[in-house]
Amino acid sequence: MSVTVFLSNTNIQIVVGSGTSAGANVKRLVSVGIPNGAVLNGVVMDENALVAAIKECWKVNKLPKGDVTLILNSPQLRANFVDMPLMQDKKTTEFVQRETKDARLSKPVSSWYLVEKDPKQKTQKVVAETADAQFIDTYVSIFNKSGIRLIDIHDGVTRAINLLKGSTRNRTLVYMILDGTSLVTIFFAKGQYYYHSTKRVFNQPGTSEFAKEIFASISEIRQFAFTQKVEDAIEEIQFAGLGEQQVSRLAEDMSDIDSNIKLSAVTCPSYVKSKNNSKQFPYFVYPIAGLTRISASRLDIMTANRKSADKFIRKQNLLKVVLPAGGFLFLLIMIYAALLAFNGYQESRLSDLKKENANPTIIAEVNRYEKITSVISGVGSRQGGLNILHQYIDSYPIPDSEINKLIVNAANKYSVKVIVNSYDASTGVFSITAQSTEVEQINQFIADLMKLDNFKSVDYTGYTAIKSKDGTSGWQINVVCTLAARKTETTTAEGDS
Amino acid sequence: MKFDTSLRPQDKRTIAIVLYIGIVALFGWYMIRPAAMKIGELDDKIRAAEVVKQENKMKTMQLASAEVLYKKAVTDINDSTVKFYDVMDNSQIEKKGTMYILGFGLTPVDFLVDIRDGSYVVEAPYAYSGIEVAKNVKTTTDTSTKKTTTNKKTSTKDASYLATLDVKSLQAYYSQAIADAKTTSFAEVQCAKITIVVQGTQEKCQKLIDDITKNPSIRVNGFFWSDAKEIWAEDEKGNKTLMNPDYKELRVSLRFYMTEKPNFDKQEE
Repeated sequence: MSVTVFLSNTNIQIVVGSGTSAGANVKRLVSVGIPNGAVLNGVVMDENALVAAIKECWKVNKLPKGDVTLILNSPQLRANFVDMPLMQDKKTTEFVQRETKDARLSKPVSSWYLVEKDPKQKTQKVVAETADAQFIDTYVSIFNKSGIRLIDIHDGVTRAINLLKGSTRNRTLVYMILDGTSLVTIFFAKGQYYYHSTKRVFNQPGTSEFAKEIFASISEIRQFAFTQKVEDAIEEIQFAGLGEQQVSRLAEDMSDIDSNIKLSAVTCPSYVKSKNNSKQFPYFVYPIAGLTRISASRLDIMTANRKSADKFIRKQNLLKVVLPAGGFLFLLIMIYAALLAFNGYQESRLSDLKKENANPTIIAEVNRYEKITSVISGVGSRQGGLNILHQYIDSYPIPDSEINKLIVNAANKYSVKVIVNSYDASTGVFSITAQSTEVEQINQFIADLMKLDNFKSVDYTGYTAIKSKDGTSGWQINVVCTLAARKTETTTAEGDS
Repeated sequence: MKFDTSLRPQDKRTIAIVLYIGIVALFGWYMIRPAAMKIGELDDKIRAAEVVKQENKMKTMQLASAEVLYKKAVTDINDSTVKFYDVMDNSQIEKKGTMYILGFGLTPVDFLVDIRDGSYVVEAPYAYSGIEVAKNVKTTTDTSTKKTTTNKKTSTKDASYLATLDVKSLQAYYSQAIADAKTTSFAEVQCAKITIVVQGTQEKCQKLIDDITKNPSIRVNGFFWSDAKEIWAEDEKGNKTLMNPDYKELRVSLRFYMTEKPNFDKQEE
């Protein structure tokens, strides 16, 4: 046993029964009012009030709390017929999701169910229903709070179209369903659904103004039919949502406006079985339509919502992984870009430096400087060597006639005759032979020589008695004078080593 | 054609992770790493170029002062070498010496020049001069070509270092180079050992010695006086006449210094 609930702006309509292969088997019809303003066009305005009303309704009427299907007519639940190629359910879901995409919905949930399919033409027609996940969650939450298990949500108009289509019998007619101030007009031409519209009526039923509003809607349908080149005249109108008397009054008013219009109350179709409640059918078109069985080829909105939620969680989880990974990759790319930019900057700097270093004037001056330094290096060493050489050479005594004069002058004091023998720079020895008739004279001569600064030392190796040519006898002594170093100041370039 | 896979989600995740790691690794290895390495290379090149720039700047700034130092060094070395003879071979030395001796009215008897090999002299100071000779330096006049060559090589090697010196350091380096020359071989002076034997009057011989001692390019290493062998001439009547009365024979040992004069004009070319 199934329970279908239709929420209008003013009532909760509940149908208990079951769907059959052709229609529905209605067991019970319940209608209770809901607080004014709790629901507006299918949107819950006062959740607590609605929960309380549902709880009370179920409690009073002792209704089943399982497998409840909710029927709504709301702009928040958009439904439309979609013709598409025949395809598998999964592909159909993807097709529907693609076709019903709505950027205005933050978390759209799309469901669908098969209406008819044509294997020969390989086409199918489905009803696609789309709502925001939050919209669905709100109703699930309300029914949960009421202790009722909600299993599906459907658009009332499209379900009504499917229900009423069977009773058209290939005729051209218009169904009008009034729910409070909301008037739904459904147009069938030769048994085929063409068009429906929803508009608000401002006048009270039973008034001529109300009839005019109804006629305006009919004119709208006629205009549509004309543009669609529907040949059949639109004359048969079946009205639901009003009592028999009100429909009769309306029919009279309509015939006054257009005598061709045949307006009558909707009758319960034969495929809707209802023992005692068939007269109530015009008031319960939507919930009864919701009771009818729908094809197994479908995706109910609860499953779609759950999948969407799962998908969302998966997406979130995926994002938790993908975002850091992507971020890291992005960071690497940024690092690479930064490295490239820095490389470019460095290359530019290097190029500038190379240009500066390649300046011909600077290069010439640098070469000159380096030449000087290399020359100075070699010159310095050589200059050092030359300084030493000059110093060494100048350190040797000068064994010239000045030395001879010094010796001779010293010898003349003592009647000593001097003969210069040799000089050896390696030892400094200036060798002379002194001759005198008296040895003592020679000794005094040597003593005088030793006083002179020109000699480092003066020594003799002994004496020999000699006899001169004139027969005079005397003494000869070999004197070894070691010359002192030269007393000259050596001037050297740089360093005075 | 439909490609059907039987990959489980875990497999797909593993593949995605491996692919991601692969992409990151490849990107890091082939893109970031070369770029980073290139930055390193560029840094090195820039650093080197900046060093060159700084060196060049310093050199150009110091060039004027370096020129002054250069002129002084050139002047000094010219002054120090100008008194030495140019390098001559033995025949040139002999000709010059013989002409010199004859110029004093003396008779050359012997003229010996030792065989020279072009090496630079290693001279020693006078034994009683008190001058300290650097340790490990040969005091003989042996050849020292190798040592000098080594010294020159070192100088060349130091050229790059020298190029980075400022003038103050350059001045110091010049002074240091002078101070580092511990032997006379650095002077690049060659020495010919000459022994001459002349005959003549003692007065003329002494004049020869006196004149030689005044020559800064020659050092008297020793001499030895002896009586010249008498030469008698006999006329037709048999009368004998002494041709070289009071003649002395003087053996003089000399050090004859020669060097290649520096030619900086050529070097600069």
